[in-house]
Amino acid sequence: MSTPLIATRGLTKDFFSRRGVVNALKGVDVELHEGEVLAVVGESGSGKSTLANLVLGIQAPTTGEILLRGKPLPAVRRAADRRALQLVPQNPLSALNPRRTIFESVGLPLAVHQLRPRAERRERVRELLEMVGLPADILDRQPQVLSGGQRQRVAIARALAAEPQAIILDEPTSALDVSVQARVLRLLVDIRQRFSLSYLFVTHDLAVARILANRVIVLYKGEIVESGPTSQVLLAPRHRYSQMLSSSLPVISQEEVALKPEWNWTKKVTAESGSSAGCPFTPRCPYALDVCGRERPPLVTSPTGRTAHCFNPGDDETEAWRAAAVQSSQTKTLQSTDTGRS
Amino acid sequence: MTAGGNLLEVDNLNLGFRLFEGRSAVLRDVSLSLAPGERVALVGESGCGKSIFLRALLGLLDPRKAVMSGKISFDGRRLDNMKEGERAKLRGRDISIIFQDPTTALNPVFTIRDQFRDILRRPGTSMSVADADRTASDMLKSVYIDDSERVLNSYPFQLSGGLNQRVMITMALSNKPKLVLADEPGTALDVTVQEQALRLMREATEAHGAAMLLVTHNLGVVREFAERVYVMYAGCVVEEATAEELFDDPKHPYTRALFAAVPRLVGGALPEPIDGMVPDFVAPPQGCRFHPRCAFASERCLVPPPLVEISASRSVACVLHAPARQEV
Repeated sequence: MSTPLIATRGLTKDFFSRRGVVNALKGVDVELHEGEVLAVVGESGSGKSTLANLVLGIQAPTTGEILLRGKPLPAVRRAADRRALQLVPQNPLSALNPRRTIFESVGLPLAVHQLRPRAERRERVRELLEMVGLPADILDRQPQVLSGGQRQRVAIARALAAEPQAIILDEPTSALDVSVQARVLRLLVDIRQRFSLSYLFVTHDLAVARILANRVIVLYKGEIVESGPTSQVLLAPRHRYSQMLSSSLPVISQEEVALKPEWNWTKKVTAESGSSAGCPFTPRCPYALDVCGRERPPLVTSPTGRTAHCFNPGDDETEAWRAAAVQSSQTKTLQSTDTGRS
Repeated sequence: MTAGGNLLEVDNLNLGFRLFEGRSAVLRDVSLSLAPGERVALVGESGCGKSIFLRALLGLLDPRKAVMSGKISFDGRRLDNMKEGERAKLRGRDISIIFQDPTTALNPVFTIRDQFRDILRRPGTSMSVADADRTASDMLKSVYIDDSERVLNSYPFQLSGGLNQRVMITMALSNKPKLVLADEPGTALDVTVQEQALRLMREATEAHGAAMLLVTHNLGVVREFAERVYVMYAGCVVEEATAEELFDDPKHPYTRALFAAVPRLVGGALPEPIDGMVPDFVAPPQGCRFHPRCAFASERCLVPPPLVEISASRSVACVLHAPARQEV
């Protein structure tokens, strides 16, 4: 396989506070290939925004490294590396400087990365705004007079200004109304095709992930619990947590209800928190086996290229899967090389 | 629609505000009814007047700015011209509200226990502190909070969003209200927590026999929760139907557009945006307020379309679905 555009190796991030350490990411390996859209889904607190921040270099990882086209990125990045990865934030109102006009905000990357001489910048910004479907007459206005959808498009134009190789989208539509969300999603699809970009797409909405992403990774408490092609992870998840995520999606037709995985909402589960040596999802999992609380489930790869850390995913393939999981867990214990992850 | 048995009856409610820019006209001829124990949803984009409507029901609007006409009756009493003191007695006892974001709606400087005591021992009641604590604890247990003592002793910021949401729900139900209003409950939360919150609200309203009016922009939430739905656009009810009918066959072009905008789990089509924006209420469009964004608009839409009953449980305010004149 070709060198991935972005790869992370054993990425961890700890936050220290007076109340102790928070392990926001615990050894995450992610690969984003050229032209791919990889969705990172999970609840709040799963570490998905932390992952985005580390990839962008906004925060430094505690351990592990981030590779851009196979080259490790240093803690302090060169301008060219910064330019290669751009961000579209969740809330563009707080990400756009209220004192700057739209021209100044979108034109800033042009100046910082010396992409256009001063005289041509205005014309270029006009082009960029046109690409995202905004009228040129907003050039000299300020972000607060724009609607939420327009601001998000300004943020996309700003990311495009740097002519990046990949865009990191941090919940780009979760603050928008459905009607506006639809427009921004279409724009993102369109832009990706036109500029053959790659997206690392952080979201909590699996339905939105389905629109954009080829591949999904599911994060839970800083660990990847499952990854695979979008439709499979969404509609036939192998990890119990992905099943819960998918089945809690509110949908609008009976057809879609039938597609969602089953979930036992009534079975009582133990307390919300509480860490254990086993699968981090055990306390919330109504299907947890004894082994789930004791041992970390190993990574099991299915013939269809899907991988998940789960002892008891529960469907037709379950028996085979469980056997594989238990076996590979035993092998691991025997070799006592349980230093991390395969 | 003059059913005497309705718990809430809103009749041709018009609401505007005196603003610096002029007089705005937010709600136009909104009529809505709720039977005891019924779960009804009010759905529409943000800026459609849904939250303002809830505030109007509760009497939380600034009387110096709001201009209101129409009738609101609750449990046989007129709410709209009730004295504020009277209304205050109803709020929290007979009508309560669950807010969108529980972490900001709960008071950060009091423990959950203190806040429960405030509600349960409100003036005019005679519950002892011990009884209040016991009730609070029991109610928390009923929403699957096992360690209710820990939760009661916590401040809201020490609890997760999901726990806070459950606390909010139980608080709203703790005085056994007849009507619970819910303003986008759970939108600020994760889908998993939202799903659980909806389930709890359904269970709790059923257990207490409370009626519920849920305001949301999320059609999926509506489908899971409501028995009957009102679709609101720019302060007008454009469609009213049972949830089943609405999801089976949305009629109004706005409702259809809303459905088309939702990302689906099936099919290869991208969600369809709705062109344009929710209008400014100072100068709303003439006639049907949706017509500037509507693909089917014609001159006929320049006259406000009445909400026409097309079946016993269903009304649509659109010329496309108005009965032809000769049939009338």
